[in-house]
Amino acid sequence: MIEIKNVSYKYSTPAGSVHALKSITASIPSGAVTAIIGHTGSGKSTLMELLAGLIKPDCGAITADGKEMSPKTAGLVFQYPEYQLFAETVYDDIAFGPLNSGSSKAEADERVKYAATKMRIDSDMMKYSPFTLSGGQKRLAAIAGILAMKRDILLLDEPAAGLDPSGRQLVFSVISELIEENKNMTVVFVTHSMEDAAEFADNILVLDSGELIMQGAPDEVFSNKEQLISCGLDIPEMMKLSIALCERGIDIGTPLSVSDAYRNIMRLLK
Amino acid sequence: MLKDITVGRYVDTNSFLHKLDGRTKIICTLLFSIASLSCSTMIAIAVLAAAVLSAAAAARLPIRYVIKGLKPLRWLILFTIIFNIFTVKGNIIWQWHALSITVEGVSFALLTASRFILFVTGASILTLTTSPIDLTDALARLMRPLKMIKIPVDDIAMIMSVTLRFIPLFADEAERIMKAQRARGADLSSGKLLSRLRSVIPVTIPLFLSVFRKADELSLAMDSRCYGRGTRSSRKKTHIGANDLLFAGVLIIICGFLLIFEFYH
Ligand SMILES: Nc1ncnc2c1ncn2[C@@H]1O[C@H](COP(=O)(O)OP(=O)(O)O)[C@@H](O)[C@H]1O
Ligand SMILES: [Mg+2]
Repeated sequence: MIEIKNVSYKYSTPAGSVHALKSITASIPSGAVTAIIGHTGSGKSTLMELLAGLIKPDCGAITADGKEMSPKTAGLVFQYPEYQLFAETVYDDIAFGPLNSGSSKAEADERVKYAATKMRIDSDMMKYSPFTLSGGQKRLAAIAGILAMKRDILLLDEPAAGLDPSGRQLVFSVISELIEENKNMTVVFVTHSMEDAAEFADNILVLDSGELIMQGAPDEVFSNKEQLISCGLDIPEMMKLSIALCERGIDIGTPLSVSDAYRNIMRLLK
Repeated sequence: MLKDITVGRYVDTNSFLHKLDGRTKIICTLLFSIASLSCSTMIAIAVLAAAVLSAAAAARLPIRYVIKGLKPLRWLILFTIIFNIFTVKGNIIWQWHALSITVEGVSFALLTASRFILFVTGASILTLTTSPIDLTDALARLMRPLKMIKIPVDDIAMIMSVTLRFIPLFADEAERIMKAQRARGADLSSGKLLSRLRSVIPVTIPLFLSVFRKADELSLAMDSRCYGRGTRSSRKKTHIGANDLLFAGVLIIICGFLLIFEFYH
């Protein structure tokens, strides 16, 4: 369980200071997937860096099971893979984390193979410079670099951005595999897709201009349609369809995702 | 920390100083640099510091931001101070074996450090208030007379302004790589000096590779915009106006007074 208590964060810039997060209080459950949504510039990436312990809150505290956050306990996949990759080959880049956390060469090699297999990075790609990869491949390599560290807290900042549909599918199936394999696993991801938040998260945090305006299960959060729209967000397309159908007298409930809708419709047809 | 470096950065606040002609600012910066590197009294230092702080205020740059720009240089400044304090001979005020501190040493150390700080701050204000394009144009226009003896003035101006722009780029890249490595458990900012130095090595190699890559990208971008094919026309030509004369005039008067003051001191 991650506890965020009264956390504020400011950036100082030549034009003055930017209040990126204002007194956020929230809790993120273990063994579950949490999504963070919010308009561009609402402070999502800042919150992720705070969760990873890469920056420290100006006031307030973030703790996981009572301990302060640190890169030794949490792994963050950056929003832009270009920001994260630095080594000469993809292999070296993925191995950097394990070697730093005291793994032997052999252990590190094993972890690299584990992470690369999960992210479908083949042995040819491992020899390339990460900077010659395509945008989507860079994203997968960046995720592999964090998976190889085997942290119990996995933070992904817009993990599906720039991926094709199969890449996106892969990312979310890896997330659910990790949660299934390890009961202590906590996954937090940032997304701009209401569909992804509805389908893959158990819990959603909504940020608006640095303030936390909602937190809860997807069906609770998405029941506040007006409020979401007023802060530049939306509800999942499937929900819109079901609302339109309901206005015409066909009630399929309020499914959040296509698979929910399918189940509801089948029940209705029986 | 490294991202605090202000030399080579441009911040558009659309102030009076931003609108001055680039040539005025370059000449004034040169004048200011000469004055600050050659002055020899603390009174002159104080006057020049007041001048540079008012320039920062006129440029609507927060003084804190400009001062923070010196933070990455603190070790260099400290080293200069320590070096001078212990090496200058004169009236001894403290002694321990071969080490001695003299009155002259202390005042010379403070003077040298202040000169250096003034010089860096002045140069920062030039780049903070002049966009890279304006800077290149102004350099080229100042060097125009050299064109007559077949010196590739435009290219030299471009090289100078690109070099200046690479300073903050270098700092930003170093900062980025350090953050990416910290995210993967690298311990970069704690521990003893030696272990901190050792942890710098994994940062330097990717840093150079990455800056070379950036340089490569920049040259591609310049090629694709046809740099070097024919004469370059600048966006808009700025002119030396009343404001330029006023600004340069004030600085010349200050430096003139300082010169006279130093001479008779
Ligand atoms: N390094 C930085 N320096 C200054 N301001 C920043 C920096 N990073 C982010 N910000 C500002 O903080 C706010 C929140 O940014 P961010 O957390 O990246 O939002 P999001 O990820 O939701 O788009 C924005 O207003 C942004 O401009
Ligand atoms: Mg972001």
